[in-house]
Amino acid sequence: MKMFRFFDPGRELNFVQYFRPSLYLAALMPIIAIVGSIVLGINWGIDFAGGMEMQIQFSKPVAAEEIRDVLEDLGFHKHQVQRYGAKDSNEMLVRVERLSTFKPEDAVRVQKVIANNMLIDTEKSVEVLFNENISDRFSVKIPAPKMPATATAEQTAEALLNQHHQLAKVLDEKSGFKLRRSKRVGEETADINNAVMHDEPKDGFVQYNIHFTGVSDKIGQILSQKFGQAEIRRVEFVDSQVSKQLRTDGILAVFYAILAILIYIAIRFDIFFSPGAVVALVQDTFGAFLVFVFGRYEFDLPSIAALLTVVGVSVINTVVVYDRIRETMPTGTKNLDDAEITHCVNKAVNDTLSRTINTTLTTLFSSVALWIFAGGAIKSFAITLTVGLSLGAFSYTFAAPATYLFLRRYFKNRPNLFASDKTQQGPTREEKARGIV
Amino acid sequence: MYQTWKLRLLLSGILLGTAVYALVPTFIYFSLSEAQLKEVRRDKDAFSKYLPKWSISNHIVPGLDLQGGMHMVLGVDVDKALSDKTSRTADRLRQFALEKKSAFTQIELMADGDLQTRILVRFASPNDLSHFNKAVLDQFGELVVVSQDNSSLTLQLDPRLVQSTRRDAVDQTIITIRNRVDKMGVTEPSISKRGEDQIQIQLPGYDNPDEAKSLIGRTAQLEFQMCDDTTLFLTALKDLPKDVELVTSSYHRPDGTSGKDIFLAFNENKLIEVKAFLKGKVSSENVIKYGKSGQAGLGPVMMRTYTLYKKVVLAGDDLVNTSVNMGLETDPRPGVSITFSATGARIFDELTAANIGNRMAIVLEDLVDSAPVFQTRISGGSANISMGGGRTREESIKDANQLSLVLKSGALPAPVTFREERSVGPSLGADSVKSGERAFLVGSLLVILLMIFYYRLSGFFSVVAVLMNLVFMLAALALLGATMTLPGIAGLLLTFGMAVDANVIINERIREELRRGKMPSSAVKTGYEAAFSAVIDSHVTTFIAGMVLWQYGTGPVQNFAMTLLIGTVLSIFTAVFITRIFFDMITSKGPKELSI
Repeated sequence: MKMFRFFDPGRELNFVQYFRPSLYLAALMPIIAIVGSIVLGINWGIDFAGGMEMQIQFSKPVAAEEIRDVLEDLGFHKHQVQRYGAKDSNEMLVRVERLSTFKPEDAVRVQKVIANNMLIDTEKSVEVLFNENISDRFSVKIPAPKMPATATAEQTAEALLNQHHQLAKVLDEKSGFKLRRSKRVGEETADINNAVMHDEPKDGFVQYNIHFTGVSDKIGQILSQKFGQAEIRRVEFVDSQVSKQLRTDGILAVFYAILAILIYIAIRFDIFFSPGAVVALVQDTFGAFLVFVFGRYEFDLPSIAALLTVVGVSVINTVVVYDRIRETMPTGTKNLDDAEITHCVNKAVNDTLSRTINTTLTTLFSSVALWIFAGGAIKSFAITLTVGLSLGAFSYTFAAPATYLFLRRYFKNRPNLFASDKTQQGPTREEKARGIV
Repeated sequence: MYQTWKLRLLLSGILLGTAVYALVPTFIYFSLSEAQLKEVRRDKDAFSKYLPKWSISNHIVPGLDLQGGMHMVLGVDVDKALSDKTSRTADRLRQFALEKKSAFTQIELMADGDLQTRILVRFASPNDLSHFNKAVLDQFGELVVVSQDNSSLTLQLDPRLVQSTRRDAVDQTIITIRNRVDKMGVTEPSISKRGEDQIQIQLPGYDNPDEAKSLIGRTAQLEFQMCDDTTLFLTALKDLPKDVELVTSSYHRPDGTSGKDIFLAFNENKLIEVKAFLKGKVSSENVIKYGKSGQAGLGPVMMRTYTLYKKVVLAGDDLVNTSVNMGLETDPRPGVSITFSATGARIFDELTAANIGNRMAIVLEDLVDSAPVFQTRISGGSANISMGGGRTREESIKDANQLSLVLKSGALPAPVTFREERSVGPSLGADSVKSGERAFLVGSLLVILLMIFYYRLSGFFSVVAVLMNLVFMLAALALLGATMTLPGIAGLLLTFGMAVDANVIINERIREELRRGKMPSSAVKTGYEAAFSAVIDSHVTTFIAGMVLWQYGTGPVQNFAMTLLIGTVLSIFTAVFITRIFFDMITSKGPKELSI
């Protein structure tokens, strides 16, 4: 029976002639990636940049420009609007960076509104407190209701409650901020009074915390009014503190993964091999990273997963090639000449070529299928993987064995410098295999 | 070794059967209709009725991105809880010093870094200071001295107390949030602690982010209402629903008389019926609220009614702190001490003065927890609720702990902020399921075709092994009751692609041996042995990458890592063990050729 194969096994292709240029390419990858990301910047996803992202589906086509105008009117000056998914789905991705719709000038207005409507003599005794990072809340401090000295605690509490209700009504109707309507457990109707909470009066003043409708609701409402039905299909909000933490964790994760794998290789093979694994890994990972630099894809949590998968796959394949080189090298001879070493390496690469192609193809089939069909949330994940895996096919064939070859040639007269040649000691591969299979 | 292939085939057949058995509930779960799914989500036990009797019930759960829902991370401001505690301690210190007539010029809070967690006490003379040390500070075991000079003393809370305060703040917030979420009608919610001061909340199928946020983030709904034990309207009711009983019990008043507690008792599942029955029958000044009665955990939960006055006399905002005590000098029974705010203390004082001998219901989130009797007028802002008789001391302490927790959990102990919030609408979830399925089908089909085209019969063996790998993976996930998200599907598909890799390595090796002129049976043997180290190495490295992802990742990323890890481990087994069976099966007849 005839076997199907990509290459005739009898013929040996000369890969070594491309070794030197392949190393230049490998060195170029991180340089391009680093310079590129400094010059062009990285399109940080919501996970790492913080902010709020919404996926909105409209019932009819809406131009991104129109949505931008609406956002601009609402006071979101840093925003991104882009089409999402298929063209006929009328879906848009909206991202806003500043989270609060409460601006300093609003504070002044709220102060006026309260002073004019709550029978407070002077605006100065109304204090408005807010934090631009908190999306849907502000506080006001106003004089507590004045009570005669003879008033009972119950009367005082009741006066406070009246003030509470009055404040909620005034703010909801006149401040331009709609208070959140919510039900208390057991109540039938939603009420704005639950959106206001008061603290214990202190020194004649009482502080109220006011919750108004959230940013996503507000944007959704206004877009619905303008463009007909607008369904918010997905909302993601990440606080700047969390995003910072995620970023540090992400960098550490990649670092630890690489470190752990390299330690494994150093133990498993001898020291000539490790640097090549690093070179291959650097080429593949930074190469895949170019997707984010030049493709402008969002760099988010799944992207880290994709990069780590590329790291894993890159090392696997390097290991397989190395395993072959180790096997092809004649054992026991320490002083091989250049030609012999070169031949062994070239033969090992040839021998594993068919496997490299097949494996790359099967994994690429998976990642491309994800890219084309799954799309959405894991699109950048799939693209990163596809690029990383494709680049990988070259790094295992060229850069990794090249590094080994050059190192071995350079140190060939001093092999005792790195004495642990595993092929000369310990159980043979056959013995090991028999123990388990 | 190839003689044993029959035995090994049998073994793998049994394993495959077990895996398929484990997947039965998952299969049934994913074929439920929309309405059935809703029912199952509401009531976990309902799922068992769709299962055959012999089946287990663990199944794969669709993640939030596939079925829609909300994911939130709340940050608990534990620092605020700490500075609040310091401030209250300072208040108590001041009061106690005044009582003991220990002279000081000032007691004030002092900042330690950004936080007001230190107490500075100033004195006019060193004598005052040493008197204060002896008479006052000895009673405050929770305070430690940070620094001291002739005329001042800097104190702060004991580090152990600081630790427990921080921890309690988060734990109590979790309890409160769980109570609230339970009442939102969300099913299978997951509420867990993340890191030191964060709480992760997942609400599958819930799609109203704003409402969820306002329900979860608001302050407590702890209320105190007086019981109306004078009205006899319940006794006048006729035609009580079936299995609803009218009960009259009496309690002792401090003046020696006894009061009557009249209520309806019924099983929990009658609640809606009883509510409907009582509607319109209650007088305008009263309101009926419900509470659990009887012991928890034994048999069906019994509920009872409480007839209360409508007016809410005190609310949770007025409660500052609670703690369990093992009995006081005046009353040896264990109880719960409550501290009220200044306003609360005044209201409580007036209330108790007017209501000695009456009962006050403690209503948490509209459910009556208990209704203790006022034994005496209570001034000074702290009250003690003694646990009732008829219980052992141990049980009473347990009750006290429970009540203290209920009272405390009424008030969120520290402010919370929303740190992270992700919500996915159900329609998007359905789309994701569809696209995930399609990606998986196309991807795996391409892999299968390539393998069969390239390696022919041997390729087919690999495909069988890889498919078995998939079944084993899904079975493992189902047994773990794991969540499946879109990244999880990506992990499955990727493992599918990579699991073939082991077979590719082995097949290539066998081909080589054949080229060298070996007979199929010995080519297979050496092929497997030579390829083994490469297979192991490649799996170990993937495993390492997966472990790191698992460690670092959250939610979806962790899901991806989990499928990767499980897949890697199983793939060694299927690639090396399963395919070998097939090879041994065909080479056992000693053929001259091998389709590879």
